[in-house]
Amino acid sequence: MTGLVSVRGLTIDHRVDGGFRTAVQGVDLDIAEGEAHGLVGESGSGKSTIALALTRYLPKGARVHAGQLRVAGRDVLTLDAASLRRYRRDDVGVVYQEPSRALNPTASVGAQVAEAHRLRGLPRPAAREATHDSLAEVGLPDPERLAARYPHELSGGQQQRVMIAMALAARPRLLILDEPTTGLDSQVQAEVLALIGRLQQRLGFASLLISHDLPLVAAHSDRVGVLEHGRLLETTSSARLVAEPAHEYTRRLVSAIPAFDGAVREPVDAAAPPLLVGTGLRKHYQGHVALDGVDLRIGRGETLGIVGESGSGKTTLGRVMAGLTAYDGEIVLDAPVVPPPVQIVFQSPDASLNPRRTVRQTLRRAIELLHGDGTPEELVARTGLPVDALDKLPHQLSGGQKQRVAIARAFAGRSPLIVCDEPTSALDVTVQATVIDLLIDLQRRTGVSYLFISHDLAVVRRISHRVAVMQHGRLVETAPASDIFGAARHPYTQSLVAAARHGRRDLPADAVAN
Amino acid sequence: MTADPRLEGGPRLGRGPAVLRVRHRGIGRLVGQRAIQIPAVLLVVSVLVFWLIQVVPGDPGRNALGQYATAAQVQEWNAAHGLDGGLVDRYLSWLGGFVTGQWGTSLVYGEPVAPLVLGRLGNSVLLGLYAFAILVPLAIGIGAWQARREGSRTDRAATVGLMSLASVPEFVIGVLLLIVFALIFPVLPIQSGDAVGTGFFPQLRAMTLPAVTLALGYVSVLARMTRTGVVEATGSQFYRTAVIKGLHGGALFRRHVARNALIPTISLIGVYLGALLGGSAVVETLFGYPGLGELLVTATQKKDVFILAAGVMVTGLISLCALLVTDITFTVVDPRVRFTEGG
Amino acid sequence: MAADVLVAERVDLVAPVDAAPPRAGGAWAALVRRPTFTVSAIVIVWWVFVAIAWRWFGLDPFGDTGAKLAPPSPEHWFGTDRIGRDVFARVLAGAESALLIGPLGTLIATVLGTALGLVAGYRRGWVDQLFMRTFDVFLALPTLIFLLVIVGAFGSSPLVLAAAIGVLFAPGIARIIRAEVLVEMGKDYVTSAQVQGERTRLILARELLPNVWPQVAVQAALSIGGAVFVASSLSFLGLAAAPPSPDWGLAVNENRAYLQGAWWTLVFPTLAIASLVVSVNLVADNLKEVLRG
Repeated sequence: MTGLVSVRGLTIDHRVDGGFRTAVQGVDLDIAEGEAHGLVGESGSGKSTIALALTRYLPKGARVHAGQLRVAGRDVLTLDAASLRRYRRDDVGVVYQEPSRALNPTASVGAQVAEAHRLRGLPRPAAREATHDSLAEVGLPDPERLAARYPHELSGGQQQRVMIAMALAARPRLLILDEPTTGLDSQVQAEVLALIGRLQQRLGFASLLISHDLPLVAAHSDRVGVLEHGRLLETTSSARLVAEPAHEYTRRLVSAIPAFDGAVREPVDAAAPPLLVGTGLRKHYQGHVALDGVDLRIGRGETLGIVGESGSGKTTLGRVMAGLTAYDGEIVLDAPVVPPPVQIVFQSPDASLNPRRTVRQTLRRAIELLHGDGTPEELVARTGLPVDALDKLPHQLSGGQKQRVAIARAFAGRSPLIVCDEPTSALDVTVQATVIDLLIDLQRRTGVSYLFISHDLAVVRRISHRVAVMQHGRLVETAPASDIFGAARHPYTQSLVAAARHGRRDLPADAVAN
Repeated sequence: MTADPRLEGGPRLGRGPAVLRVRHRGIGRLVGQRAIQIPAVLLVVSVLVFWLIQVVPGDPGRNALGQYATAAQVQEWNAAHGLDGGLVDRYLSWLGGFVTGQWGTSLVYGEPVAPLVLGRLGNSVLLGLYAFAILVPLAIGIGAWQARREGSRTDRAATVGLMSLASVPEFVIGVLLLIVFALIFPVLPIQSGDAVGTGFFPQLRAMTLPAVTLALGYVSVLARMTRTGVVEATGSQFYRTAVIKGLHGGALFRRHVARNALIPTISLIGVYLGALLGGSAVVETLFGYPGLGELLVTATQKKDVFILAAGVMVTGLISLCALLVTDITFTVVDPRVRFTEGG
Repeated sequence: MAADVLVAERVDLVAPVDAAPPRAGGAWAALVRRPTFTVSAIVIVWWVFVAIAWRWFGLDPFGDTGAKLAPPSPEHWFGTDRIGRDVFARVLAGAESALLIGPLGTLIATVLGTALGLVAGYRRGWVDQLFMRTFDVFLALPTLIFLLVIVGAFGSSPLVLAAAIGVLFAPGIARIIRAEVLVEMGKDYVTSAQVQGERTRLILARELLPNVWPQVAVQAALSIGGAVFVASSLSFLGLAAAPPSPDWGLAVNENRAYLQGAWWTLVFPTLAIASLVVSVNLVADNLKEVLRG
């Protein structure tokens, strides 16, 4: 096999205190010249480790062996120092996950790109020219001025474009993209991936796109491999992967993706008296307006989804609803003030539980404070946790389990409104689906209302009755979910939905279990 | 930077063209802030100092003349030294005098305080600079050396050694050095005071032991900070980017490690400089070096209110100015500070 | 840097999402396994024992034994000083003085500093700003100079010294505790408690303090070392203990001149100070390593 990348039996062990942990086990990988290859896996699957192994940059003490690890005709594992440098410089380029951390904060953006050109041998003036060309090539405006800026002055999308410019400066034959768009807004994500696609057409490099987001990888790759716990389960063309997943795990991954085509919840009775009415809500921080006159209504037993890009004000809205931030305007809530009628489920399950309290202690305290009339055992049973979780500390639970505890805590009393602030964003896709199911189930049983905040439109579509779209602190459109995702009226909503759809290949109806 | 239109500071999220944001009055703003803060702090300090030195110990005249002097004699003594009058009056006249350079006459030496204190200050500054010149390269060198060997036995041994060094009072370090260099290998003089003014090299030689003692007293924390800085820089994601780009050696270290590793040490270096320039009471006393610190000890023992007050204010002023210099250095070195709000 | 050859110096690919919080029982076992800790702990226990019990050994640190400036010998293990007093007896008796002020001052500093740090970190706003500005002032000014002035004003009894040290060390501790509190405040479990309607007092005591106490313990341990450091410096300068106290710092000061003639009068007190402070700091550092996980 003489493709660009040819890997056989790659095994990598990390040194963990006391022994070794196998991160990657017997992985085979083939990438042809100019091919767009994808690797999908959830956290802990070893995908980033493989990417780094291709550049031979691994933690101290890690053990690597492979029957073969050839890239661009070189045997990567046996290169000497100078050849390794040449290989890294000329044949491979890498784009990383967090561009703000992957760029040197004390060097200007232009200097860092120019470094790549100077390494190729260009003298300073030529390198400066080439830098401006590179920056223009990735679609950054005003390259001369931008080159003098420092990374922290650029937005996430701009930083990523700089990384791409830097990686492509030496015209490598392979471009590795390690979660390049995680953390970026969906529209920026779409733009960045489109840019890479265009450049790939023009320059002809092969790409390895690594991500946990299966639809994303499928939409931008010719062939995709699926990783689980360091093992490669299957590799097929992206179309075949989504339509006919061969492996059981892949099937689970595919079906867990909330589809854009599938049942949408019908709105609740609009005539019934609402639970909460907010009028003219305003909030500003020094010089920056977070909420600019928001009016909304939430009915009993209803989920109002809030979507928007970062900076739209949706998190502030959630905090205002929960009574955590002062605000201007009026909120009328049809419920007693004591015990606190609004609870929150946060994004990060790690940070939302006191690391020194057992589950039982946390829930018992919550029941006390919220005047609940259940027991920790009942709460735990209602949220699908095993009974032995009660006496565990948070660090002994998985991410999904911790989030269930957080949900149980929110349901400890009889709070009529629960604010869910990106509750599934930090979870693996397979776990996300079960948590959303739990929330829907609890809502059916208790008649609670949700204010569901998320940037992930597919998730919002699944759980919301009505959806409100926010931009720059204002509500741009509020409508039943079916309207928003089917026939949105406002152009901003339309572009949001289109970008989310475009970023993933829509799953054919029969591939979705639901 | 250039004359770009000034908009809000900080990175902007979301899409959009590269709207450039510059705050080019960063340095001026910071200096302005400190220009207000420093006198304010000094004012507070002056009240504190005045209270502690002139008020709490009791009547100065009584303290000077003893319990058997008559009230009239005490009154006369106080008047002669300008120490009579109400508290507020005394404070204001003392403060006014301090600002205009009239610091009174020493009760112990009988000379005007200002030239005495400033002269001693000069000696302390010399010693401090000498110690600083030893301290900084030594600490950074040790820290970087350790970072290279991170986790190894030599690294751990060096950490324990440095920590022991840091816990020991300077006079103990001084005595141990004296034992080695003045007793076992008698190369350097024991008392430095006699050598002052006898010429450049003899004075340098005499100042070496006290300077080294001072430097060793401060080296540990600085070395540790450097080590941490280098370790973090080489473990960072941007370092990884640079290495995988193909960079290596001197360029890699200079551009991607050195600056990022040393930025956190700047504040510490500034604080240490301030402390060194102000003079160390302990080291100067041990080696008999005629610096400001040693003068203040004498003044405390003999209750010389004028020297004490002036000396403490001067020391405080030096420390605060060192802070200012540190802040300015920060803005020059760290672009993130330059372009964001506040100081 | 030889980072590029086969492996990186350090790349945090396997950072755990959240490590187990340190618990008291496990910490003790981990500590005892460290040689620097055990040796230092033994030294400290030794000095504490000596400080409490030296009178029962039948030693006389004040009496003239007749032999002045005698070198170490079987009768006088550490020799005698210029007044003929037995140096060994004086060294042992000096432990009491060294260990008196440190712990007391540290207690004051820790309680004060922790309380201030907790409040400043939790409250934010103008209270926090006020505290921090004040602390900045205190921290910028040289500690010893201020102690000089305080001693000059209030005298040098152990109580004064302990109180002064307490007040001077508190801002440093408050700063660090405040930083810890800010980190914890960023975590949502504190916000959850607020949303549930928990009272401020209880949030501070039950949510924040348990997560912050390891840092408090470390700071307390470090402060003891610092307090002994400062106290012995003061007595070296002749501003704390007074003759004929066998205080170590005072002994170093009194016997400076005998470096070349009678080194034993100087060296043994010096080594005693060094052993105590180094041990205290090593214990503190080991505590820090173990509790930070």
